[in-house]
Amino acid sequence: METPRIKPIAVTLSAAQSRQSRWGGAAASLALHAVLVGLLALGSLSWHAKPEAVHSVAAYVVHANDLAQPKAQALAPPVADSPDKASEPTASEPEPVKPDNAALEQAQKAAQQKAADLIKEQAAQAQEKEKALALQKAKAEQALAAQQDKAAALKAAEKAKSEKEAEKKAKEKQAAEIKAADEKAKALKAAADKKAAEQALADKHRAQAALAEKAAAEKADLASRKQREADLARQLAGEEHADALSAAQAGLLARYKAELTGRVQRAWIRPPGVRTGLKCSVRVTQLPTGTVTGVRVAECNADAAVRQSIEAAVYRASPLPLPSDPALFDRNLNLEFAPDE
Amino acid sequence: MNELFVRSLSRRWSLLSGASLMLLLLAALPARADLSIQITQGVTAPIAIAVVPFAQSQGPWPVDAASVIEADLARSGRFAPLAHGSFLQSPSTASSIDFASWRMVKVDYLVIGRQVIGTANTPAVEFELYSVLTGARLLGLSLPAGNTNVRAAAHRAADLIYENIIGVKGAFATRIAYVLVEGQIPNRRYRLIVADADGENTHVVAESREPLMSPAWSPDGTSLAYVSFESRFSAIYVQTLATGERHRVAAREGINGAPAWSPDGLKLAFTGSTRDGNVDVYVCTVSSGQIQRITDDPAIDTEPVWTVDGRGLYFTSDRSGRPQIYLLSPLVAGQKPARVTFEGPYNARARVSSDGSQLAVITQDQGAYRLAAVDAKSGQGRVITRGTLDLSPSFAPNGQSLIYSTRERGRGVLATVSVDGSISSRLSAPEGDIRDPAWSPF
Repeated sequence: METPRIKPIAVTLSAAQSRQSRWGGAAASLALHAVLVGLLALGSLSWHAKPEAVHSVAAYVVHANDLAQPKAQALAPPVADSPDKASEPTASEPEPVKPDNAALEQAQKAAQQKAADLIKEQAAQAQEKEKALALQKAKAEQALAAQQDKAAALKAAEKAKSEKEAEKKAKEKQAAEIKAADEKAKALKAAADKKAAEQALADKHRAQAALAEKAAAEKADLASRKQREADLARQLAGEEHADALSAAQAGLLARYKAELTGRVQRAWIRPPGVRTGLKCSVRVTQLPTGTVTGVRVAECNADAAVRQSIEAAVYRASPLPLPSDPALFDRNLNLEFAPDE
Repeated sequence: MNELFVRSLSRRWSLLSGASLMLLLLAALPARADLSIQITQGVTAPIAIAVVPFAQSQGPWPVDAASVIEADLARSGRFAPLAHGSFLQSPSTASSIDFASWRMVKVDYLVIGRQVIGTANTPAVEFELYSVLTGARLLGLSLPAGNTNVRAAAHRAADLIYENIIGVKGAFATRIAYVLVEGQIPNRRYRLIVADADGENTHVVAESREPLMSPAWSPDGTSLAYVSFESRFSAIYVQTLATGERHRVAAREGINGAPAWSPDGLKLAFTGSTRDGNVDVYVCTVSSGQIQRITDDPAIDTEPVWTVDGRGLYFTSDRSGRPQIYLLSPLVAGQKPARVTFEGPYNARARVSSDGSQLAVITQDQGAYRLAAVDAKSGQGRVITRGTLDLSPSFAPNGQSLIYSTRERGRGVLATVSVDGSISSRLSAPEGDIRDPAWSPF
């Protein structure tokens, strides 16, 4: 019996598989530019509202108050000189007038006479005395009166003096007051002027800020309008916002999405290597004609062959169906490959 | 290519950048995530590919590698090669590819190549795989090919193309063994044949006037175990393919059949019988010839096959009255095995997929014998062939398909079917009746 043989089969792999990877650099560059540009824009928007400007206005206000402070002190009454001490007028007592001691003989002879005289004299004396007394009294009264007059005059003078002084004081006071008032007014005016100037400056700042704000607001408005437009576009795309659409549009959108889904599903040849739980996000860009211009498998838990099958499916589905309402068209599509087993 | 152009252009713009561009970018950013669509299904359809005949330097060569690759891909059922009549061009170098023309004829992938005589006078097959859709070069290799090895190089190329696109290792550069029966009694001849997986490049391994049966590949692919009745009684032989050297490992009295290699290649499980005719499963150590009886049941226990981890044996038993698949794991003699299949009255001759998740069995379906794929855990199965007598399933090493024998115009032929039953093909075969195919390991 012959012994059959077969030759061993040897196959050697001699070259390595090579793949090309591109886009990385270009995408990174674009992203960097967008970020830089974004930062710049944000910076310029916030410049006008810089807190430094507000601080400088506040500083001026504080300064104005400092200037006003001395004026406020000037408003206080000036310290008065000590008033002259007028001596108190002293009333002098009137001295008693004494009677004359004449000769006794004469006194006898004249005793009678004298007596008479005395009587007379006494009477006279008494008269005189009375007279003197009266005179004295009168004198005293007069003196008193004079004294009183003098005191009164003094008093009056004093009074007048004090009145004059008071008047002078009052005048001075008034003058001081006027001066103070004047100065105050001046200060006030200066302050007011300064304040006004500051106000004007502040106003100017404010106006500038307002202008900048307005510009920013306009810019923001533009951005927000764009955002709103984008939002609207997204809403148009999003099922969850379908109620925001008119019923007719929602229907068209649903049909558009169904057509897209059907087209891609028919084009996707599922490799046997697809495991349960496959989930791949694919970014697709298309021309208004539906021609697929780019397919990027973003997040994907599948192997290279499955990714390739997905990429191929989208290209194979090209040109993609178009919506009946052109408003529903979107250049960018998100495809989620998640087979339900 | 278009994308590249657009990208580089926009980069230039950004370098020139102005506020307007910045605003455009800012405005464009929020609008990026747009219409979202869920893809929950795909199709099982062949992928459109074009394999352009390779340029042959100092030709013509005896074998056209491109046609071998093309046939491999087509037979897998996963690819639909474009008919050459539809080609608008036949490039053999990258620079001469006009992708637009290939897009026009709706192919997704393009294979070009050259059969060259390299330095040191060594022939080689160079091939390149391109995505027509993106223009990307997916593969580019040079495979050494002796004058008789262009076919092997082409199968290898097909494997790599298959793996790149399908994501599963190709099994084109593998082999099959089968028994070819020719002539009528008393001139009947049995031949054990080894061929390429595409049925070409056949070699006769053994030849006998008595039956040859049940070839089984050793796990390393160097040897075949098979049953021969050359001594009028059944015996199990192991033959090394490269040298033809062989030795008899089991020749006990009674039945010695259905050998199956353990995953470590050290043992063979087989069907044996006792003197009183009780058929059971035995295990033989190849190096020593030592034999151990594993099952001991009055019913027939036969057709053993190892679990992937080598710790258990599936086998067919009619202990329940009808043949069903049982599993004995761990492999302890005398233990009670667990029944695996319950669907239908007949499930026999199990084979295990390379990952152990599936069994292929012969099942009775609408009065015919057909193949079923059975989930190894649940025992749930589904019929995957449509023949009347589909027998001897054997898994491809990549687990994607099975080779089996079926009847065609009264004779046995080889067929393949994908494990899900969706793709089937027939292998052309010479005259005669083909039985017992076995697919080699990688």
